[in-house]
Amino acid sequence: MFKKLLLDLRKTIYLLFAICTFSVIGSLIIHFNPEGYFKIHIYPLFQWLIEHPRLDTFWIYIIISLFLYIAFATIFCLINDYKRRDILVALMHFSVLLFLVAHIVSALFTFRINDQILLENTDSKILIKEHQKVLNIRVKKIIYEISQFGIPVNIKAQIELPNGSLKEIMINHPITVDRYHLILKDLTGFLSEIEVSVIENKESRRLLLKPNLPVKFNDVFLTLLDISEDFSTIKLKLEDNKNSSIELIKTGNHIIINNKQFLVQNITPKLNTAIIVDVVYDPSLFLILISSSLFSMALVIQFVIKFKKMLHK
Amino acid sequence: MEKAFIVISLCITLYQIFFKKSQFLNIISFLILLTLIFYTTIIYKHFPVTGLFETLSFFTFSILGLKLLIKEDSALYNLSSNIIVSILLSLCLMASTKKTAFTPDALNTILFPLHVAFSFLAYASFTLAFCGALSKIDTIKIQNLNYIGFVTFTIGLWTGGIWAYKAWGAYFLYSIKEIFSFVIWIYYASVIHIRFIKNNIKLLKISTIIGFIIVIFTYIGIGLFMKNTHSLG
Repeated sequence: MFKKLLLDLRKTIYLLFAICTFSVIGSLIIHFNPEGYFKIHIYPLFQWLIEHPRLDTFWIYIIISLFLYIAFATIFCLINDYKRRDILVALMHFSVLLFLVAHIVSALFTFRINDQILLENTDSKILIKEHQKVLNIRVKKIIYEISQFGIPVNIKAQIELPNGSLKEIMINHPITVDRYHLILKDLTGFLSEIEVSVIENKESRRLLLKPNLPVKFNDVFLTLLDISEDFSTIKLKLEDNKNSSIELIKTGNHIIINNKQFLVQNITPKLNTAIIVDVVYDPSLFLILISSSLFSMALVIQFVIKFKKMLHK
Repeated sequence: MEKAFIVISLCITLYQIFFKKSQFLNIISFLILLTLIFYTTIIYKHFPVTGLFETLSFFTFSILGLKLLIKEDSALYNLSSNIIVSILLSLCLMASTKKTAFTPDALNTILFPLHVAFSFLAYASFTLAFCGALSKIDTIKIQNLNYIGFVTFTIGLWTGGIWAYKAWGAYFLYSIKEIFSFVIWIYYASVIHIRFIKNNIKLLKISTIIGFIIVIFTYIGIGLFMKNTHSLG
């Protein structure tokens, strides 16, 4: 009875149509509520579902159940293909099953971390909480060109792995570190410090300010709080034993520190170049690649065999 | 300059709709669009499948190519396919040909043109299957067109998946376009199984028509009106 039901092709086709319908519903839910599904691809799917017990995820549960049914139906089809010695179709059905198994593995274990590796860090540490592990890698060199539009292109970075070997990472060319894949996403800059030149009685002095790190100047502690996007204005906290105040400093303006007036001559930010990488742990990747390649290969071979016949019809 | 190719091709298609269909004119139209593809490839130094104008012209080119490959004399089939071609070419004329000339690093891979070209070949095949479903052509031909579409779409998804993993670290990011591509694949996987069902003509025709609606919505609707990783801009 159950076998007959699973081999009923018409019902299976309608169930596949149902998967499409629920996927369309799901895609619209995600599209119009992106915040709700913000981290769905970052966590393993099953973990995400446990942590987000919401009504609007009903479609995922329905699709998983339908795929479970399809998996059983495919097993029976595979047995029939084997009996008929239809190797190519059997291979395709087998790869569909393998693909579904790979996705169970993926839904259980796959996660990704977005991190930022700084060039000037002697040792960049990527904490992988899920495995309570730290990846110690070092960015040795970042090479890039600036396009005519001012956008960095041909970004490459040389990375020293924990075992001391060097690897080159590029966009579209991820590298493997331990069990993880490092995927280069972009280049970025970090504000490391600001150099402020001030003049007092024709004497020029230099101030090096780091974010949230107090610096003593003229017996007052100066802390850099914020900087404008064009780096023309900085917000400083001035503190001594008695008073505390917040001042905005602009190039060309005067600032009074401990009863002395200084002319702000220049504000120069110092930026660190960094690469943005994603760290991906995906134990299902190999299975997905094998199953999808196997399926595509069998499909193409079958297509080539039938092609001539098809053209004549 | 690019639009001149489109105008000539559109005139040929309109002539075929209102006056006389001709295989020779189809070949001419196909060659004009082929020249356009070569021209833009040489000018911009990349395979022209980015943006609305290029994808529309490539889509039309694929339809004409497949039409030449799979010959069919049905008047309604030819009329409907010519109407679709003329609509696509008109949209092409409305689309901007302006290019930033800046190609992001992620697009500098052979997987990108392969992914897009195979996807549009599949779209073209599904479109012709739709035209077949509207007319009275042999259902085997409709099945074959759906089958060609499914094969090319699978290759398109496979190359796209590998590329997406290399560029984004994930072959599936739950964006609306990706989910709809998954829908198209599952949908046509079931459509090509319809041939094993008895008395399937009605089911095949209806599902082919619905399939085409999903394909067009995925390409035009989502590409243009819903912001996502595959937006046409």
